[in-house]
Amino acid sequence: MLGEALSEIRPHVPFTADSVQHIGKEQLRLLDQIAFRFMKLQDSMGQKLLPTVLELAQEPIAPDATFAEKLNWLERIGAIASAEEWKRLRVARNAIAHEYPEDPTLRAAGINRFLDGASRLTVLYESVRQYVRSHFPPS
Amino acid sequence: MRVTPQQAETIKRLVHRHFGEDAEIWLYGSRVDDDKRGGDYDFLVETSISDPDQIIEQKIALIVGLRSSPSFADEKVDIVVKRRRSSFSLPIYTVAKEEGVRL
Repeated sequence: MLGEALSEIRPHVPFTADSVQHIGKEQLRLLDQIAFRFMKLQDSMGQKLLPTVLELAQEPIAPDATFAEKLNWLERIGAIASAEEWKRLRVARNAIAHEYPEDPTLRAAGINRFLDGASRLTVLYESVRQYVRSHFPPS
Repeated sequence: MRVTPQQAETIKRLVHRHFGEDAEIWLYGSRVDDDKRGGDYDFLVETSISDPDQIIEQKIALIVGLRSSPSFADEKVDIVVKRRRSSFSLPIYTVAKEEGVRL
């Protein structure tokens, strides 16, 4: 879903300070769609997939552990490469997509980074699923 | 100015880490005014970094740092980045420098 939308916007990437000032309605619609799917995927991973990994791994985590602590555990067991990257993805998805309307240079860089983040999230999703498949194979 | 000493220390430390020791910071917006209540934290950062991709990357890292810090945590923080070496200018840069407080 997210991957499909990313493929559609790929011909326009990377945006430049120039191209971002001539961004069409269709591209804006695609960017909004990507932002929505980015949010849904990351929220779903945070609420379901990642807690499931910790449960399956039977890590001794306190029930009131913060999400930041859970991310550190996930990094420690190798389920995710980096807790910091997860946090940066959240910021990339929220803070960047529609910022800097009057600064084309930063706006273009922001959109490119946002799209890169969306792409990285799809890779992360697959790698976590692979982690589950290889560490907790159905018996 | 409604920014605690811890908050001022935190934002300066993070800005210098991510935007260089020569980066300058202004607080502007409603937090400048002691008579107001609530409001977002609005900061202008002026940096020698010119590469836009690097600026975006450092801004993301800075925001992650703020969210991880006890002094900012869930506070709404808005950061506008001005490139010192660029002639590009926006009205907000002037507003922030003239009406804001240099940290």
